[in-house]
Amino acid sequence: MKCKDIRWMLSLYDSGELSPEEQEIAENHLASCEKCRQELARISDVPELIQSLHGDTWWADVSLSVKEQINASVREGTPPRIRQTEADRKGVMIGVPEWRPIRIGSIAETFLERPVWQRSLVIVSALLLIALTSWLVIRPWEYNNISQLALDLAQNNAQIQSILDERETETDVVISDGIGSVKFSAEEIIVSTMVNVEDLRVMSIHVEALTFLTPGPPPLQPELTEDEKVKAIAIAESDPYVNIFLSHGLTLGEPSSSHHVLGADTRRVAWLPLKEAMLTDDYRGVVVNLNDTEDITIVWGGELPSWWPFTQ
Amino acid sequence: MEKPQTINLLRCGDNKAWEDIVLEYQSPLSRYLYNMVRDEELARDLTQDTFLEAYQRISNTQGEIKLKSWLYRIATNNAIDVLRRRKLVSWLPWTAETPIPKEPRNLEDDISQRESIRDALNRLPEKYRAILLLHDYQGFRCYEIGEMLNISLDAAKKRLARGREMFRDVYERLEGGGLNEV
Repeated sequence: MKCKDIRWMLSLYDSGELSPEEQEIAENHLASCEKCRQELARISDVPELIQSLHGDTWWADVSLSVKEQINASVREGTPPRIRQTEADRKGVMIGVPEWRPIRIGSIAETFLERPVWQRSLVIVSALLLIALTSWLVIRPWEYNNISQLALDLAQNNAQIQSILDERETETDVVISDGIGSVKFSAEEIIVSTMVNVEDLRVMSIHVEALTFLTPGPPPLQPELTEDEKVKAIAIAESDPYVNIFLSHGLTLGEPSSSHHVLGADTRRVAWLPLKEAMLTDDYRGVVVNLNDTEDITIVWGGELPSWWPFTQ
Repeated sequence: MEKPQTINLLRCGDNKAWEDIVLEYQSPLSRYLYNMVRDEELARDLTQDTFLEAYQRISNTQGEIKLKSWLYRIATNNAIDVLRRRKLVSWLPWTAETPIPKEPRNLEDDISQRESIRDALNRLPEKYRAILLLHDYQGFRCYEIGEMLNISLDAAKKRLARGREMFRDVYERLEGGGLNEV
């Protein structure tokens, strides 16, 4: 068995996490491979290093604030207010409106005092408002459009395909092809949440919501020109962050590698052979791991796309 | 694992039961979240939100639940959500500024080392940072993490393995001065 095939086992060697078969495979390989023994020695102290964080003294006492929030929610009959997470996720502050008591009788009296045509107008307006609100709540067009959009993307996007192939659900997929932005979550599969439509143009689709989709046609991989490839290779050279990820098997030809290279027109996405030690400074930005380790996006010289969110 | 009676009390919104749960888990949860987000205020908010979200959602659960795993699942998802959103709106290149830890650096080796460890963790993708902290810091097993993050046992093992390799590389480079410290 090749070293790269058992490399992941070395990291878990003697951790109790390997199955007996895996442990045996690792042991047999180690017995005959000096290089892997060195690698094991190098990596074996990682758990200990992480455990040393227990030396920290800081921790947050939230008992009072949680108690207050829960008591307030019981008192007011509303769900507890979740601040940071909701606000960050939705991009808005969640608040509970203050209601003041209104005497219903006074509204009825005022209404009945009005002329017939005014009362009719109010009734017709109210009916129209109810119809419009119902339509907005159901929003049939959004259901159809977003579902269709998600379906198209899932069937035609190489990155989604590769993640679907791994069957690793709960994974967000970011498609940055400048089309738009939709986010699906486990709880909100079809009740879509539009996120960052105007600014980021990043589409995040919850894979779990899409696993029912049948495999589509082969992913589109528009070819870059030779000149574009040369430029893109030059971009990545000597970037330490890229190198770290590339050094973990994310090299040309690996099925898991998806080094997206976006040309200046932003619609051009292609696989690119990236290797260590092939980079220069001539680049605008390198985004590694926007949502997944294998996702490396590079934009090179020339005009940045108008939607590009990462300015330096 | 909590007794079924405890879970039932929590589902009924029993104040005492919730107080006990908060007292038991707030310290490890907030430390975990601090190491995830490296920001004390944010970690505090996320800790509070974890309990409030659990309070809100526990009545929707049925049967036995592993409360500890469930709390960490909520905490992890929320932390990753926040980190991703922050990353999307403010891209951090390799040498970019990141929040300065409030713990002051001094000459004591262990504090300095912990900062280096956090520095290295901070450079890893969230999902690798989370699994390293859940497994090597909080002591969860891979099968528990798999259930928690809704991934297979095999995927959890490989993610942990890869996370350790990445951490080792980044940490070595930081210690060797190969990368700018942030």
